[in-house]
Amino acid sequence: MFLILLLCLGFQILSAQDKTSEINFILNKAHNGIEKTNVSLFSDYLNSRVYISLSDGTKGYFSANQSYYIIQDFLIGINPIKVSFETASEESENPVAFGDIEYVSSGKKNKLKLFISMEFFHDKWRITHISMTK
Amino acid sequence: MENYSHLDDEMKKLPSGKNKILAFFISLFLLTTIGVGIYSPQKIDSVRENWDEVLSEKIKIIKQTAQEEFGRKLSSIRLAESKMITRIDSLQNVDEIISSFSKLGKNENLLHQIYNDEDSLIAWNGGLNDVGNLFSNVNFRRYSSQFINTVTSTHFVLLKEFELGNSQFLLATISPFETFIDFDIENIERSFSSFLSKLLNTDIKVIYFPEDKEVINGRYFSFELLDNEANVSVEVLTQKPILDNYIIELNQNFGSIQSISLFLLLLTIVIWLWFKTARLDSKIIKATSFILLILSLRIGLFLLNIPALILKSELLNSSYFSSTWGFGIVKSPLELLLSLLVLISALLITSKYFVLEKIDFAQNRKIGNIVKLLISVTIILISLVLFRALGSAIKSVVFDSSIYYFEDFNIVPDPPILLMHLNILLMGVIIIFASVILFALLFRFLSYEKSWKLLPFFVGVFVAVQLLGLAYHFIQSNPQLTIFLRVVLITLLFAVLYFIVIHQSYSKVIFLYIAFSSSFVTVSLLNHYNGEQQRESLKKFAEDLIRPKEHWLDYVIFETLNKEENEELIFSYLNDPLSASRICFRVWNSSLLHQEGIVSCVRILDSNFQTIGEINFDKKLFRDRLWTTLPEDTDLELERFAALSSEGHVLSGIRRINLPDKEIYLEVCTYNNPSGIDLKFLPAFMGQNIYLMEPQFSLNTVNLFEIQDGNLVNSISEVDIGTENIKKISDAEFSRLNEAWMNLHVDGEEYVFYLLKDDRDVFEKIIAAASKLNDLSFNLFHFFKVFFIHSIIIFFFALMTFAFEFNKNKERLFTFRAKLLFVLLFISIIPMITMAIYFKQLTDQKNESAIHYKLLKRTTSVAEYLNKYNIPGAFNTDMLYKRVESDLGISFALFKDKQLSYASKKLYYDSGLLSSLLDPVVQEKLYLDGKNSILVKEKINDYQYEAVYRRSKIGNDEYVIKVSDLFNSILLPLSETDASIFIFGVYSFAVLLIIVISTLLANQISSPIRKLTIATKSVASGDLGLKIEQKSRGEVQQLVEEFNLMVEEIKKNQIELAEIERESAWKEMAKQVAHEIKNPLTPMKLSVQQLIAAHSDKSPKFDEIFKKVTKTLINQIETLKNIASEFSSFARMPGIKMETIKLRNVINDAVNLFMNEHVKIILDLPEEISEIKGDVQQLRRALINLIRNSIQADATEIIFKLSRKEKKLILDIIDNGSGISDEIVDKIFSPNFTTKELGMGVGLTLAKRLMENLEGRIFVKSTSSSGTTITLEFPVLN
Repeated sequence: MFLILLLCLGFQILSAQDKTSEINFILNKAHNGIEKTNVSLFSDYLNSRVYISLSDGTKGYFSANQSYYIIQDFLIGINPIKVSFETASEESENPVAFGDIEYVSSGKKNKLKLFISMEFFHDKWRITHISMTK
Repeated sequence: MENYSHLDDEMKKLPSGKNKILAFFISLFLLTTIGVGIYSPQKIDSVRENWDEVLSEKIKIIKQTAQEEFGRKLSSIRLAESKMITRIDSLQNVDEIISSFSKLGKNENLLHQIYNDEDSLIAWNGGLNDVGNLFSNVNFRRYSSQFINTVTSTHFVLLKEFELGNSQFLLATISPFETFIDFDIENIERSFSSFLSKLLNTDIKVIYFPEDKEVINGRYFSFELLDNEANVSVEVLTQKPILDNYIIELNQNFGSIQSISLFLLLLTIVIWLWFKTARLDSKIIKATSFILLILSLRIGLFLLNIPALILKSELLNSSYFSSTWGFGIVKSPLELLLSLLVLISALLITSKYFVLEKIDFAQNRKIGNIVKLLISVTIILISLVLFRALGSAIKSVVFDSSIYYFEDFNIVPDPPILLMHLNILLMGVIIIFASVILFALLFRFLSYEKSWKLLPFFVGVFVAVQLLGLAYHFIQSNPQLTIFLRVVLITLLFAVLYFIVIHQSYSKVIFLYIAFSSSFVTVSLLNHYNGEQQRESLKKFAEDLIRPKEHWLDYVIFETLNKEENEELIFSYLNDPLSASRICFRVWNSSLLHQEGIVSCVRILDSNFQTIGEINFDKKLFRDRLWTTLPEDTDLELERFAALSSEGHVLSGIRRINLPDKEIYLEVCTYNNPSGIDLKFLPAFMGQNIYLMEPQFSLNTVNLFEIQDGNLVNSISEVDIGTENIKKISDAEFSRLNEAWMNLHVDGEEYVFYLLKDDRDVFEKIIAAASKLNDLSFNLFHFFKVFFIHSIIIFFFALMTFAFEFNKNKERLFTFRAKLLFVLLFISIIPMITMAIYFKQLTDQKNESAIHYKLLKRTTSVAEYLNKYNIPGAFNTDMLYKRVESDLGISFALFKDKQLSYASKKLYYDSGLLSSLLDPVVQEKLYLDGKNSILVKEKINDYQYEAVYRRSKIGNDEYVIKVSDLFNSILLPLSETDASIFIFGVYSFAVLLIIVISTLLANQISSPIRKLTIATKSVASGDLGLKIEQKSRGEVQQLVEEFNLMVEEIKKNQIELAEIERESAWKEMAKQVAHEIKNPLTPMKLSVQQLIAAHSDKSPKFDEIFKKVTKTLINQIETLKNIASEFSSFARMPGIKMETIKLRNVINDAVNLFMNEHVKIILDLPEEISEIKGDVQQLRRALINLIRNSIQADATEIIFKLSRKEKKLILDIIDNGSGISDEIVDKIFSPNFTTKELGMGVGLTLAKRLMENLEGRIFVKSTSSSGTTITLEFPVLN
């Protein structure tokens, strides 16, 4: 009985670790993709419906197809030089990451606030919310 | 015979002028591309070496431009002031000033105020709601010019004293230089810093007050802007241009130039190749080459990222539409248009070279039936796949777009939306056009039979396609079209094919049919997928409700509290307690709370956590003194984010700010319901919370219910769901994903319900999102919204095409049919438009009256309530006013002495969004004109609303009560938007019906006139065998009958005249012959008599006389012979006029005269083999005669087939008439032979004679009871 309990606990820990590593993997992809202005690095993990809020006023729910080009065009416009973020609430059903995007515009260094959140949809972790605002 | 072959070689060469121009441009663009590549690194190196000089120059430009713009702005304000002074000079007293100011109208960029000598504000023109009375502004001084700050803006003020009567007054002219309130639209005019930043392409901040000076480090520099006339100066702070950034910019610019140059080079090469290709003989190679050239242009544009490189436009905004299909060639509305244009061009080229070309039917007989069947099935399958592609494309347009084509309807759509409407139409046109081409080729390929079998064959194919389409629908796992739409699409396709295949009509009107068919199908598909999307959205809506949002709200609170600018703001303005609320508004406005439209509260608290100022969108929810007790571990250090606490569903954060002399706190609160449907929204003009609810929905269209343990615990709905439905929902069967769909009847209407079970909490609950099922009439409503726009687009292109080919088409404008059509349209559409405008105006008036009435009623209710309960000592005033709001449910404002005394929604006045001063128009109407109430249209940003102001006496004081539909919803039976949609939807349908019916009527009425015109032409060309068939009544029928009679009479008279002339000619000839013959006969008789006498007398001179007589006889016989020869020559027919003619043109001319006859004439006349030598007139008459003979032999189809055989041109005229009997077939070409009662028997004779003169021949190739073939052989022209 004790062994079974131990096994169950072990599985839970393992699955929790799996979950955490999967989330971190996706968030890392997003980090790289934003920093390198290459949405295709994380576009596979966009949900079929993503809430996007950007500093150029774009705001709303967009399909995965639309999200790809909206984010890509925005990143091309700002040309990020550095992205830093930290993840939070990885254990919850709604893990988030937030941080800063540094970019240069009109000869001046600027910063945007980055927020990404994920949810578990149809057996997969998906990015459901991306916000890049002042 | 002349040889023209050398001209062909000449024509194949490109004209040398065009060659030179193209060569020039190719060289130019090539050199530019290479040149930029060589020049740019040199330029960059030069910039690096001379950076100091470049930097100085840039700084100089920045300074100069900033100074110029500063001076210009101040000059315009001074000009406005002087104009106002001039205006005031013409006025007599204060009342005139007030009246004059009220007529000035509100101006968001300029405010005039008049103060009396007691510094009381007596007149103003409205606008700049945050300014108020200048003398209450802490920054304001009595200087002639200065800058003042409100919390939301920085304004420039000019002061001027003037005298009126015996009193002194002060004119203040105020204009904004900076505004710190930012809504959706960036108003650059109100921000001088933004304006300069955009103009100079660098970040600029203008500092108006010396105490605001910032620390400048090496990367920034500042300079002064001075205006001596106004005696003001400001400081401009900007970052020094950085070399690296400048180089990046240079590289980008050079890159853009290179890309554009490359594209222009590609374009020039394509044009050059186009001309070359046009000279090729092979049609397949030509068509393929053209298509490849267009494709290469599109690929070039895509690879070089044009037009995104050169255009900054909403047309390239992916949020309107984008798809990853095709590697990004459809990633925005404009890119999609470009790709669709390529497809349309390819189809036009294909149709020109393969559909309009004739196919040799005889070749088809060599291909087996099995092969033909396989090809047919393949083509049908391809077309079915094309239909599926259309469905997928429209689905993508709906689901990959943020445009709501039906909900966001505007008569004049924004450019990106208009472009997407065009794209949708083009998608349909492409698919139908491609299918038309495929099937047209198929029918040509298959129909070698006689044409009377074509129609049943056509119907057979139509039925086969429909059946195959049905089968295709059922084998697909995810059909992209509904059955109904596929059937309609195929039917419309075959309706277009009917004209092409059966009627052989290739006019441009076919494109009109294709366009309207496409519109019908695509709008229906759009409607269908919109419904699907709405269903999906219900699901998403319910999912969003239970989705955890706490992390997001935490983040928003955190970011708002830690924003650097907030601390600076509080430092600057906190000395003025009145501005605390405005500070809170600025904090809120610049944060994500505003951007995301989150119902929230921002407060400034003192050290005892008492509220100093706040902006609070829900006072019940975000109560005061939330922080009476803080958790023990709460960390309130500066720059540290404090722990969140939640009370009920409120999330809040707090942060300490240490000021020099005190400690204060900034608090931010938001609302979060972790589960359930308790939604909170800001007023519409403050922004939408799209995160909570997409714009497609509003709480008017979506009904939300929360059911727990079989009970309704919460709802947001205008309908009562009923206990029965609650039970059905509770007993619903849910899928593995805890969801279910249901259709339920609520209040007599059918609703679609999406149910989502949420079992995360202890108590399981069901969230139900419901929307009314659109009934058929409502779908028609939707349908016509978009169909209307498509119709406008189609008519626009039709007009453009007509205008482009105006010279060719202008005669059509003046035909009887065209004039009739214009008259019919004019007399029906003009009254219709008038009625539509009248109805719209009437609706607007009624709505305005209804709004006025309802708002006025509310002001009366407020006044009555206040008077009733305004008992001194019973309530304090504030409590009384709040009681009005809670008891009556009315939000209102009170003005006393033209200033705001109380407002239910005070935060909007405190924030400066609404003016605390009474509207000057209202002031004039109520106080000067003596009106009791007035309805005024007002605006907050771009949001328009209506307000009623009513004068009331409350107690002993005069007040003005204001009630507006900004905070009080007024329901109208037919809103302005609904009225517009209804009018344009219904009337546009009516207009379309009128156009169709008028066209049909015009055709019908003008048909006899057209027939008469053509018949007259035929008669003039010599065809007297025709007869017009026309079934109508009245004068037209009489005219037709009389015309037919007239032609008969002419024919009879012609025959009689010919007979008489012939008889007369013969008589005259006989007389002449008799006369001529008599002359030699007389001497002949005398000579014979002389000989007989000499023989009887046995004259010794008999031999001599014999010789003489015989000589005379021979001479006279010779004379008789000459007479006979001459008469023979005289009787010869008139001569023919030989010239080089195009046989196909002569045939066309003859055939055109039979346009309105009941006979189908098919022409198979290759262009390159139709030149001969002949007499145009006689040949045409001969052909007319042959056609007439066929018609009279009951032929319904006549085929003209021209071919070449060695050195002869063979023209076969094949009809399906009753044939020529064997007995007479050899006689038909004989003179005077006719089978017709009134025939002259010369037609075929003349034809034969003509052919013989042309060294050709005419003969009957074959004849039978199913038709006759007459063959004409012409010698080939060398």
